Amino acid sequence: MEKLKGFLVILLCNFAGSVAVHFSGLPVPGSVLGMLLLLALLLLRAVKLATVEPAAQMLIGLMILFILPSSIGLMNYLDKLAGVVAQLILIAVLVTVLAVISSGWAAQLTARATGRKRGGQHG
Amino acid sequence: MADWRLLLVTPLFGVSLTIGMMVFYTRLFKHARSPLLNPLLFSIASIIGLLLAAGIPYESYEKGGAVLSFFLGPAIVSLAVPLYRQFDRLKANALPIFAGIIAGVVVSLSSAVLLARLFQLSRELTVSLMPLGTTSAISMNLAQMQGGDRALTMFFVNVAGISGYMMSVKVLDAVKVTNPAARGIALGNTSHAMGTKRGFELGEEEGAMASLALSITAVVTTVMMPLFIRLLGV
Repeated sequence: MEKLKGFLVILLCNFAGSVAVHFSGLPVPGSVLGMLLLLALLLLRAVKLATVEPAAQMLIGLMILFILPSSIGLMNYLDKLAGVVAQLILIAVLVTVLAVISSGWAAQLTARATGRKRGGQHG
Repeated sequence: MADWRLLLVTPLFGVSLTIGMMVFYTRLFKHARSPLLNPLLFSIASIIGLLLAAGIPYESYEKGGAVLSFFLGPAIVSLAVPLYRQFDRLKANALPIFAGIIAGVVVSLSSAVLLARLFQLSRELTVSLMPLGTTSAISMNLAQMQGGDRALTMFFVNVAGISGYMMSVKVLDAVKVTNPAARGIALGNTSHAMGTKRGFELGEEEGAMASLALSITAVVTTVMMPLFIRLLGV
């Protein structure tokens, strides 16, 4: 029953997020707003961690199963992709390398700056 | 006797096939170290192969697929729980986390659009490519809302995850990013779950920062992707 109560809280956050998206017209997924809502409720202690944690852990653990069906739609694109797969992989790899460099640099610069302020704990 | 193919249009078919493949490949690759021996990739390929070989249309599978996909929304909402548990770490490292992630997302979104233009990709492919650094559950929705395709996004997200797992640590070494927190942030910011896995192989600090970065990246990309689409006229 505990798990069911947590699941209900999660469903209601998801639903509230979808309602907010519907009426605001914001171009964001309702589930992401639902996530921020649940985080806010936890931080405000309006929802106890123990209430939602078992259900949340189960859902996160099965995430890969919920993602998988969307990929099967690739079968409708096989003809279109056949000639360009190598090109698409190259693009995705390049974007990843560029992003990892900029993210790493920016994070390291700021970590060192704040580290020095706090007595160099980050080196 | 009734046509046996009627069984293929009940959700039971798609749900059983999906769970069956995942159970099979998770067992098979239990001790595999390579990021390419990945139950998700092999299940996708096997299910597509099976449907094509048997001449079963995507729509039959999707009856069951939709049942599983429904739970994606609640699973995304659930990500608030690990985020909440790590909130102290987030507060303590807010500056490097947000600086790293914003820099990474800006470069990721803009380089994706520029490369897509260079290679003359269609708008559908471009939009599906843009959120490749965001965990697939969320990036699929982001792409779809802007006219992209969920399956194409999954393709790019997997390339980012696997290539990041294999290369990012070498790249970070090469550009002299040695700070453990920064390395974790960069991994989670670009290679989501696979990056987090790689982070935990490096150490506790790297892994924890990567998993935080994964969630924050999703939020930052959710906000920035529509802006970049307008800004760059995609």
